[in-house]
Amino acid sequence: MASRPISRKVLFPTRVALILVLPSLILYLFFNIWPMIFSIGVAFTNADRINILPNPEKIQDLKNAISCAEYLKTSTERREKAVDLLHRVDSILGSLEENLTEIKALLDTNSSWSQIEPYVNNVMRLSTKIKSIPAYVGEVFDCGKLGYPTKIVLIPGDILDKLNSLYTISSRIPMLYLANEASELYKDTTTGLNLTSEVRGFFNKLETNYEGYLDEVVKSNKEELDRLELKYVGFENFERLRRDPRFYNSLYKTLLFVATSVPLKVSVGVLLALFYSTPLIYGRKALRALLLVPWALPFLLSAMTWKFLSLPSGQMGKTLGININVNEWHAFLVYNLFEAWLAYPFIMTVTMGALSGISKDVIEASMIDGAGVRTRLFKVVFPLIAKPVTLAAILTTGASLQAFLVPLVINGAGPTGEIYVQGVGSTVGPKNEMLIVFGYNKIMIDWEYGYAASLYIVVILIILIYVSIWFIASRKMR
Amino acid sequence: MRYLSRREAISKTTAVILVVVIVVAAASAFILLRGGILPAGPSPAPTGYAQVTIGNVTLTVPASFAQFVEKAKKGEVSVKIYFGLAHSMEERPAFYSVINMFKNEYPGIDVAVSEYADWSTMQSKIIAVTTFPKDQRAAFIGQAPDVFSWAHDWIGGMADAEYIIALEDYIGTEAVSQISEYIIPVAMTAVTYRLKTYGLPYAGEALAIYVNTELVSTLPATFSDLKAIMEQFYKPAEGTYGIAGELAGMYHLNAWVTAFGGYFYDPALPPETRLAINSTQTKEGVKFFIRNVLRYMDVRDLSLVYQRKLFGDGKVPFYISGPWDIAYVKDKLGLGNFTVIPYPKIDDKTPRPWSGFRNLYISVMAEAGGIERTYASILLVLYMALNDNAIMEFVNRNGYVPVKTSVAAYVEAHTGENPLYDIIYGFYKQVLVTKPMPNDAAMQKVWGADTYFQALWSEYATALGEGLPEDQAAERAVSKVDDQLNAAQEEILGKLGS
Repeated sequence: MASRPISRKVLFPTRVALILVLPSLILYLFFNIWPMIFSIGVAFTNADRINILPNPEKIQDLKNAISCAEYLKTSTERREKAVDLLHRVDSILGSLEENLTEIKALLDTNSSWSQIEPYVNNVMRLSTKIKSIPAYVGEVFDCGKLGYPTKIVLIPGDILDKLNSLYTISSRIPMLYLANEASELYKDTTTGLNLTSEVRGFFNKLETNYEGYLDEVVKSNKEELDRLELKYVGFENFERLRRDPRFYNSLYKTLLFVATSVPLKVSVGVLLALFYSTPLIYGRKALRALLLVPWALPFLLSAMTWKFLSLPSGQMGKTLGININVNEWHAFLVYNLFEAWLAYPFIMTVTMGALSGISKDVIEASMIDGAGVRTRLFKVVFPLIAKPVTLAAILTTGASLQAFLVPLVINGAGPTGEIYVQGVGSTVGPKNEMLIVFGYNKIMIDWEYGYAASLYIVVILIILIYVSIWFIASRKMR
Repeated sequence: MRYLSRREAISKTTAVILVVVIVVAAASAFILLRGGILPAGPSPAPTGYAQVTIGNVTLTVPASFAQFVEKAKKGEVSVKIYFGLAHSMEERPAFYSVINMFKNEYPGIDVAVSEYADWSTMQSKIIAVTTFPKDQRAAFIGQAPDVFSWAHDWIGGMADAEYIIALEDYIGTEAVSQISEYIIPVAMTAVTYRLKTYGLPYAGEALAIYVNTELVSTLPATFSDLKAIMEQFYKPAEGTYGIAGELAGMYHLNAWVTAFGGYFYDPALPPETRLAINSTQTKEGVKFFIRNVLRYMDVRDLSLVYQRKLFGDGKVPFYISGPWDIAYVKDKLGLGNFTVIPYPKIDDKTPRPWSGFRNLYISVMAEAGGIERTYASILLVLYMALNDNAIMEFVNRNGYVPVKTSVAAYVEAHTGENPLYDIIYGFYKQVLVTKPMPNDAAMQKVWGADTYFQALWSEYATALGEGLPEDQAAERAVSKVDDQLNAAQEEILGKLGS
């Protein structure tokens, strides 16, 4: 009995299809569009380590500190207490200034070293008192009690930095005294005096310009809040890229690496495939299998081996007389050799597959027709394996275009030196920095995520061009 | 039967409201009595200040903290905290040992050690949890460390982002001031950022000079002595050189530059003078280094591994490095065949390398899960940094250089008896003559200038490779110093401005 054909509607009910539309759109958005838009979007921002993922607690603390300062401006009670705060702070800073002045005067007059000692001890004692100033400010401007809990002290950032400098200098002065370092002691004393005077001047505002003091606090915290905000910067990152000699150098080195490494790895792979395909070599199957070892080895193991071999003290470094730490072209040569070593098993496998597909009849017929080895190779074998080898070459070009770990592990894409690009300018950086390494350094060392993202967009455009060529080439070959 | 009049009888609506009010009140009373809404923990909190003793240090702390310490000692509390460890494998057993000592003394506190492959993994964990609002972090307890140890120079960046907490916020300024009396000032200033103390240092590090005493019988007292010995050993054809040392950039150059009054970045100075990569004094120091030190080095490979091997193999009499190489040199030369001396004076000028301090940080995770976890984390930090026995464990097992004065005095007193103490004391003397590495976040940008210095070493090596004699090669590198340092200053200023 013939089975009844199942209706398409039974297999694919419309209502199920409709139900699946939404999740499929969400999944597509989540896995594809959203990360892409995010990555592209970052290239148009000032993203860095600080503003890309700020601590929400810090933001809240800043907002509370601003609100608290604004409220305090209206509080008469706190205004009165602020005068007491000023007296407390000023008594510390005033004492410090007096002692520093004495030390400076004694050093100016080349007085005996021991005369300085009591003042130095006083400075040491005062250094710990300087650290109490934020606590005093916190007691008077107690934002927590006012309903604005915050870890931020109501002292503007620059003044806090100066107070911290004063603390450091005051702690350092006794050490310099003990070490008989007169010139350093003089330098620190003078800096300390200038800082004390500036800070005292600012804290005087608590009495003379109470609102002005709090305005400074608000301004400082608003600036900090602004620093934590990710901002749209338009094409600024791309414009910077256009003026960056390191970018042009990395583009040049990447393209040069493609131009040198691809022919090298393809020719090595093809030659080895031809060599180990001849029946004249005994044990060629085992040898062929051994030649695939670079494929099987973990990359980092191979890379570390090549690194140590190619160092000036390594076997290859000594034999070839090369120094990858000093000479950029020596390092570039090693990258090429290593890349060829990594990629030849792939090319060799593809070529051997193509060779095995060539009929013996074709070879024999060409021999009967009088073709020599050279003619058979160039007129018969190569045309027959051209398509798969070209495809393999195109695929391996992608690897060279995205060279990253090879230069990074071998010598950090160095050596470091001056990079000069005519018409753009000069800078200093790793001379063999390929595009991907450049982006990596911008992220890992300089934390400039926005700038690195703009570079990677350029890399994507280059890869798109390459993929287009690949697409056109493969169509033509079909 | 008496009926309520309409005026006396309560309406249906009023009855419903009354019932709701009674139910809510009863429920609230029940929850309050069960402690469901009230915060857990001791109540009421003790007020005022009390004293606690950690090791030989007595501190005046808030009474609530002192009470917690007592309870932890008697095992009357049960708190679990997490200690993050990202040091090298060889260093880790000493931490386990110290943590066990702590747990024995404070049985109420359980410390779980979370091991990390490296610092950046540990830091990523902390950053990841802090992206959540404070009230949600309790769910992540154990997934990021409450207390962790790393060098002090990350304090600024981490404090700015509020990833770490300050001691003053919990134990007050008086206690911190008392602690300062027991720790060398340079170490205390290193862990202070914007007048708050972020954790405590328990060991110091600085570059100093390892001397192979098999090769050098009289230790150099001045730079002239050092140079004479370097000259004597510098025979590249025979594979021997004057001095070795890793050379990456500013960190390795700082001592020579400071001797001439220069510096790279000093956050203690006013903003307009903080960056001085291209100051005359800095340039002078760099030039001195190239002419008088670099020209006696094997510059074919300036990496740590290669340079220390030169010293380990007896190819150089001197090696500039920090305490992290004690174990390596001990293995290669044997304890007793080498010593460590501070940088010698150059005429009357004192070289001051940067110092780094191993710091015990308290992350914001310690604030999650109640005040007892915060107190337990602080107590662990105080114990590891102030208990002499704990510090001695680090000294003896890991060769750490103490920064607590009482431990340093003990090491000094026993220098003749234990060759390891001679070496540690050599580093200690150097640490006293240092400037702490800047701990503010801007320093991360300043490190970018290293590439300019590397270009100078490259210039020297290239000139040597071209066959120029050492002095001429050095002059070629020296001729590039002004331009390179001006360019470095300009680039870093641009970055700091941004």
